[in-house]
Amino acid sequence: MEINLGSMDGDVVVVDLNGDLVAGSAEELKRQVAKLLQKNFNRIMIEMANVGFMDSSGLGACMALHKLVVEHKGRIVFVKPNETVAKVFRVTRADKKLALVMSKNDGHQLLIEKTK
Amino acid sequence: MATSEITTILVVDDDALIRDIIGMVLEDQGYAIQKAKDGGEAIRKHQAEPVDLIVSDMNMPEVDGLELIKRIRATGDTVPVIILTGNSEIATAIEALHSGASDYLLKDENIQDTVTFSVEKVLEKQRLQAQNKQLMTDLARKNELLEKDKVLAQKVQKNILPRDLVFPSFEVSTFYQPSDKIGGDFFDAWEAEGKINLVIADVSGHSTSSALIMAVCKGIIRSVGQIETDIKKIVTAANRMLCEVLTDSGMFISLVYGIIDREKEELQLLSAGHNPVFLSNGGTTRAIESMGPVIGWDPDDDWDLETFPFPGGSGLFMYTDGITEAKDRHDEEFGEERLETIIQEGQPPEQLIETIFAAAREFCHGDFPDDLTMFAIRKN
Repeated sequence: MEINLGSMDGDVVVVDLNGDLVAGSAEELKRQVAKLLQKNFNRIMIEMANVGFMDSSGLGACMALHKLVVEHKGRIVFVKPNETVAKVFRVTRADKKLALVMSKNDGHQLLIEKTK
Repeated sequence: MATSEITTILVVDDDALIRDIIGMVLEDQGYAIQKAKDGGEAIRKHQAEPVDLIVSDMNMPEVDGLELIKRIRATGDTVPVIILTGNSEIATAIEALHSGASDYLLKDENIQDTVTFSVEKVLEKQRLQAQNKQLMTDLARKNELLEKDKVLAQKVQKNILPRDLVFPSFEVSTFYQPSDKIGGDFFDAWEAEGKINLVIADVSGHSTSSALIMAVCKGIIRSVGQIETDIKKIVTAANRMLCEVLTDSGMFISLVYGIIDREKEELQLLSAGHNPVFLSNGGTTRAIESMGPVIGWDPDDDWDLETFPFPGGSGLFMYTDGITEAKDRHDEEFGEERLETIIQEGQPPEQLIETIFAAAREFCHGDFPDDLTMFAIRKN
């Protein structure tokens, strides 16, 4: 999986995922986000539009990121998961615990508002 | 290899002056030197007391440099050999490289420098090769131990799962195949006071950590399930305990807990973030979706419970997503629809599981990256 970092206004870091979010890549994603938090970036947008498949390790990583970011008094949003991935969020009720949004703009608004 | 710590080099040349010059140069670099006047003597000396490296002239009476290499290599000896050669013998020197020489040097005015560099280079290469070989041996050994350990863990894990499930007037069949000897799935079933408790669960991931959590989770569920009869209370209590175990690992467990009440002919089901289970009765099959979050994320989570009639002829099929997420060569998943189609055929548990496994195996050509677990029960 490719993980690319970008930025948006208000110190928002965009973590763009490309590929399957499974065991190996899930660990890498956790490492990358932990690094961002160390550098005091705590408004994080996970761009999921190009994640084709997510297994239980991937979902576990999303939940772990959520906990980690909240612990760092930050906010994390997950943007535009495809239907396969969205279904995993729904079945496990992770959609009730994570901030899932359908566009980068919505995600940005949420991150800015929540951390004002 | 010479026994002392000092590297011993055997210098072979029929010209005593060359032998002495090269011997002196290398001795100055701290090497111990042995000398031989031709290939035959070199072999005898090396056999009597093996050296670490041989520097040999190419052209010598009787056993020449090329023959020396061939004879040494014929015994399986890998001692490095550096060949010294005149300009006119380059072709032969290259042949020597093909025969197993480590390097060749021109016998010119720079020989005092080049021989030192060459010896260092060849010895360093040999050291690296030896180190590499040792690392590979260590790695193979560690892998072997790890595999043995996994086989042992596999036996232990198999024993954790119930065997020979017998519930009078019910037919039961189960299937369990971890992705790599040990896995994070489990199932359980037991009967107490006319109530058959059924559990299927999938711990996220399918590694050693999943297998550890699987064992803990099964223990907790069974312990709570044997003292409590309310499914919601069982799952809520188990969730609280497991949240403590899992803390911020991100790991979780999806689970279905069911109780079949013999007297009431009823099935109570709670699905915590698990893939749908299939209930067949009255000639129809329906998928029952999850009724709440997975276990292990939030100690304050709670779940809804559903109750269904479960008269004679009713069947319940539970599984983990290793079956439905098995992929064919075009990356298409086996999926719930294919599964449901088979279940609708109404086969008895044992045959049903065999048919599903065969269909999924054919679909993904036996490549199941995740753990597979199936549990089927039917009331006669």
